[in-house]
Amino acid sequence: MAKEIKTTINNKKYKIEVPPQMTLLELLREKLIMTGTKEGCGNGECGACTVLLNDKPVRSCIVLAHEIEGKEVITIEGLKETGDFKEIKEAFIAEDAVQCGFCTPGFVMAIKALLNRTKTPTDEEIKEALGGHLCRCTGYESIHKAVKRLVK
Amino acid sequence: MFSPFEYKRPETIEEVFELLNQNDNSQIVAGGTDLLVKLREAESSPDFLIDIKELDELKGIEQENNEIKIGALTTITEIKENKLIKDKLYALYQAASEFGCYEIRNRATIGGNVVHASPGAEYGVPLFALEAEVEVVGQNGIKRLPIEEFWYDVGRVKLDNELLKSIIINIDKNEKSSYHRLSRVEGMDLAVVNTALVKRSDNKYRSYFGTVARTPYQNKKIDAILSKENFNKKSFKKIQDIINESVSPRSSSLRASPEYKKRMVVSLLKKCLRDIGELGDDIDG
Ligand SMILES: Cc1cc2nc3c(=O)[nH]c(=O)nc-3n(C[C@H](O)[C@H](O)[C@H](O)COP(=O)(O)OP(=O)(O)OC[C@H]3O[C@@H](n4cnc5c(N)ncnc54)[C@H](O)[C@@H]3O)c2cc1C
Ligand code: FES
Ligand code: FES
Repeated sequence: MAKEIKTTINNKKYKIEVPPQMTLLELLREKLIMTGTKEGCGNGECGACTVLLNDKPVRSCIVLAHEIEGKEVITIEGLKETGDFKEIKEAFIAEDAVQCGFCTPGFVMAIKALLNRTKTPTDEEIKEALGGHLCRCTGYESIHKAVKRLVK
Repeated sequence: MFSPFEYKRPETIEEVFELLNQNDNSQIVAGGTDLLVKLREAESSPDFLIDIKELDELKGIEQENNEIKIGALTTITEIKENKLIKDKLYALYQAASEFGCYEIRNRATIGGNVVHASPGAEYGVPLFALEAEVEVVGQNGIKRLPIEEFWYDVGRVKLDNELLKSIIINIDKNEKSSYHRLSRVEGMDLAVVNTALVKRSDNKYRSYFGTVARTPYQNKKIDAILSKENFNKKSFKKIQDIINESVSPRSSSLRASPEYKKRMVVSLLKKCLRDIGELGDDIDG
């Protein structure tokens, strides 16, 4: 049975009716029509659906929507309003780190979370943060370089 | 969407038991990294999901006298970042470092890993080698049992309307430990094979091998060879022979052939010995 939950998504408060079996990814894409977050594998393996839950990156395809009750979610749409997004976008453009773009929202959220943890990540830390994200197009090198560009 | 179920996130253990008693077809969920995948693949279809993430009694890593207690809800990230674990139980740190990827480690719990009991699970072989015990809490209180009694078959543990509360390891008995795994894709795949080795304070060794049997596999003959003082190149030949004769990994494995697995567990054992500092350079890995 659908139950009302209170939550904050992209700094906006919501009261939404959500069935318990709905995933956070489904809530975002199908109910709130925030389609920036992508579904790749639907099984936690590719990272395309990554969003921030209380500042930590999670794979929204394996998080239940009910779990965000009382918590804060940031998606690519929310990030887009910030200066950080502009910087990450410019770094991606400069390094040609986007081809089809399907994996990009997930990578951008993981990079944002990494930069929240440290402003000066090492190569190892970059690899750790992005290691679970799949990209079928770029070969990863350019994405890694884009992050390096953000580390001054 | 999954097939419909009810969802509750109780704050006390008592509430969990009430919910378990009221609902026949209920299921516990911790990090959900195994369960939600199962739900999607319709391998499990509970009517009621009990989310235990809020149970503080099941959290945290503590030392009490000569024991380290790891709460079942401790995430893999918390294990990886814990100094006590890195200092005293290095194999558990190594297992955390190999585990999944950043986002998965943030959610996955050690308790979920043990209860899921998959043959290549990261916390199979190291916990068996460390002679860990588990604390199980039920309506009639807490009991403690050895992990090899608790985790008795593929995907099977001894729980009957109970919760895994914590995992306990004696740090006086275990002097040094090491863990290695081999996987097809770094991070995002379960281990093809894995091996853990413990050097005990009495200079005896315990080794365990994963995915070659239904549960983490130990062979006392191998441990006896490892524990002998004049351990040398020929000893590995003997160990390989024992493995070849004593295990028969299933040939239907998606990840590797039985022959390959048998060779690789011994190769990983060498790596573990090298970590523990017991292997000269003359023995190649
Ligand atoms: C992309 C991806 C990568 C992965 N990589 C790895 C890897 O490298 N190595 C590895 O070993 N595993 C891996 N896994 C599997 C999984 O993440 C782990 O097994 C994890 O530790 C499970 O913990 P959880 O808290 O998410 O369990 P859940 O899915 O919440 O629960 C698993 C099972 O345990 C039960 N349960 C959980 N906690 C308790 C408790 N305290 N008491 C009683 N029952 C309980 C649940 O009812 C359920 O049956 C991966 C999974 C994914 C999706
Ligand atoms: S869609 Fe969630 S990880 Fe692939
Ligand atoms: S740019 Fe196409 S998948 Fe990454």
